[in-house]
Amino acid sequence: MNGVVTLDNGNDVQFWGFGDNTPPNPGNKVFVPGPVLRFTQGDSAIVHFQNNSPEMHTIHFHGLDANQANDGVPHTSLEIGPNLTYDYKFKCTHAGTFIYHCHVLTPLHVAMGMYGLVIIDPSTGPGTLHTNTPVYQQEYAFLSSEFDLDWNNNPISPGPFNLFEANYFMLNGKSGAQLHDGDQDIVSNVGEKFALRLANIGYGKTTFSWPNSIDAQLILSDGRPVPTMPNVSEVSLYPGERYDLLLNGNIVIDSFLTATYYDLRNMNLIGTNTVPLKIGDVAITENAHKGFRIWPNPTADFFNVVNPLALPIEYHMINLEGKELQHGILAPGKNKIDCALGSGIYLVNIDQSSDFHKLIIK
Amino acid sequence: MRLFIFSFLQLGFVSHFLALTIYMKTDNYQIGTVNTYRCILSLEPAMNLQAAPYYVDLNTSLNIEIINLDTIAHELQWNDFASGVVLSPLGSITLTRTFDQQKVYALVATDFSAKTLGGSFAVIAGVPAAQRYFWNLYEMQTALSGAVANLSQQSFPSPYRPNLFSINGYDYPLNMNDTLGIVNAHVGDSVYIAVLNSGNMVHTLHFHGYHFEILSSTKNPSQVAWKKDSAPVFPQDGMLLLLIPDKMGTYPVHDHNLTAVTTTGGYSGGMMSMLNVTP
Repeated sequence: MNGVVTLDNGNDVQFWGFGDNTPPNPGNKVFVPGPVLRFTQGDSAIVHFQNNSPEMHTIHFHGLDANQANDGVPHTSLEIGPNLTYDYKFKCTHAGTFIYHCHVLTPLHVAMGMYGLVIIDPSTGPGTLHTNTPVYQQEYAFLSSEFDLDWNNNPISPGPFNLFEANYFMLNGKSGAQLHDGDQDIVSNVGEKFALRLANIGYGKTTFSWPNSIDAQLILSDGRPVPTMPNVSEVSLYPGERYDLLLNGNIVIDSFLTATYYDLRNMNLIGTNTVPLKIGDVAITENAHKGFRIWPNPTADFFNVVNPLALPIEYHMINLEGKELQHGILAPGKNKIDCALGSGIYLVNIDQSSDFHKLIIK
Repeated sequence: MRLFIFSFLQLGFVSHFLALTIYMKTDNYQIGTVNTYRCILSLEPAMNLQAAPYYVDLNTSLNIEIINLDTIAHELQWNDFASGVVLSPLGSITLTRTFDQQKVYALVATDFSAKTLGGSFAVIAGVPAAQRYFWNLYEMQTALSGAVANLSQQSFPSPYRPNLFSINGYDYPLNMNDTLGIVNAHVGDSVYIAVLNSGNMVHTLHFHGYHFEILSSTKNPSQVAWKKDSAPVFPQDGMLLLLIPDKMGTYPVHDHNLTAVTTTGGYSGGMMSMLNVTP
């Protein structure tokens, strides 16, 4: 499905991408990257795929080891034609970070933006990367990718497919100053652990590095525990790899996570992005970034709030018409909120933050 | 008596001495419709791109005579050593080595021409089942390969824009009958796959359907014992992978640098193999 994305230089360029039709998505908007799909270890996942484009497409769940019928490869599985649907099914056997992408004419369809992240929480839910690894308070996920803008401008005849020349470098579909708009900031506090989920769907190597005052432990790669879970000072992701890390800031800093992009044909450095990375002290940052998360979602009649603060928090639940249906106060150490509101989509606001979390009650 | 036993064990330790002759030659080959120059090290003076690896049991010592059939000098070294030897034009040299770890060793060319054109000879040690499947990865910018072969191009082409990506001298789907490359296995089998990157760039192998374990690597030991679905194979690295399929089906394995699943710019092609798993 075609979309338009505004580049860091202000120009618009077309891409092909995935969108989320739950909740209703007027105009069938698509995004680069597509929406994050989140499941819990042990889930049997079903992804309803509806192809609204005039081209053949599939979804390959990269690293989720789906069976052949659900592998999304045209010549071994099947491709989904225009206006057709397919239910992709796979078991979420391992926690970790994964990728989904179209596997039709892959060099072109991936280059055009048809990809996104899949996150599988351990069976205990969000808050740890893997069963029995330490709890994190905040979590940040970055998917590295590239455009060859000549291909985006002329996807009908982009030229030989071996001549992809990356010339626009993204994290989560953003580049350059766009990554400093505030919505990608990594914020944590001294002594608190935060998780970084890193993935690369690009054509080259992406190396991620961070200030050396931050301790980083490598927990998972490609959805499997890394033996010895070593401490690392940077990680390099080759195409298709994922690394899940647990980080801990030791001192107050206002710095960056740096991503550098290399061409595998000659290892030349061809691009750089930075993301603000701020380790604060609790007193300064608690009002700016509270990092609340809610889970499970969708749910039946309750949800949990992951509350990084040792303080009571106030919550409000409203429907899509803006009408408040329920509110209350959650004491420190408590995280479960009962919400027998009937099936539908609700917005949850926590502690008067600017964020409204979408909650689906089935 | 104790001394006698000790001596006996020592004798047992270096159990095999084998002599081997291999030939080295640079020539023009055709892969599908694509012509490319390639440097080959082979057990036969009649070269072919599908040279199988050589297998030795652990602690075997090889005396390897290498005969250079080219009229230019070449240099060779083991892919886990930092120093090598020089072969004079049309000359020969004999190397001796004991193989004491379960690894994919390889003699790899280090002079510009033969290295760029993929000169390599794999020796798999210690895991008999690991000689069953072998993926020799190689990519080339074919229009430049002749100039590299005749030394009129003496430095790495810049820009380097390879248009041929191959496994065991085949590009997909010509490799569908490659018995060394296409995996045919049963659910629950321990499938060992030896991988050698004879090319000039990192190739990332991505398995559909399964994770695999990296049992050894000569160039990237940091990922040994990791279970992965995507892993880099560095130039001249010999890796030993273990796949234990948990379900049946046919699944691709390919380089996830997607420029490499092409042949002369067309999709699909290039560096892609297949796993066929039956009950």
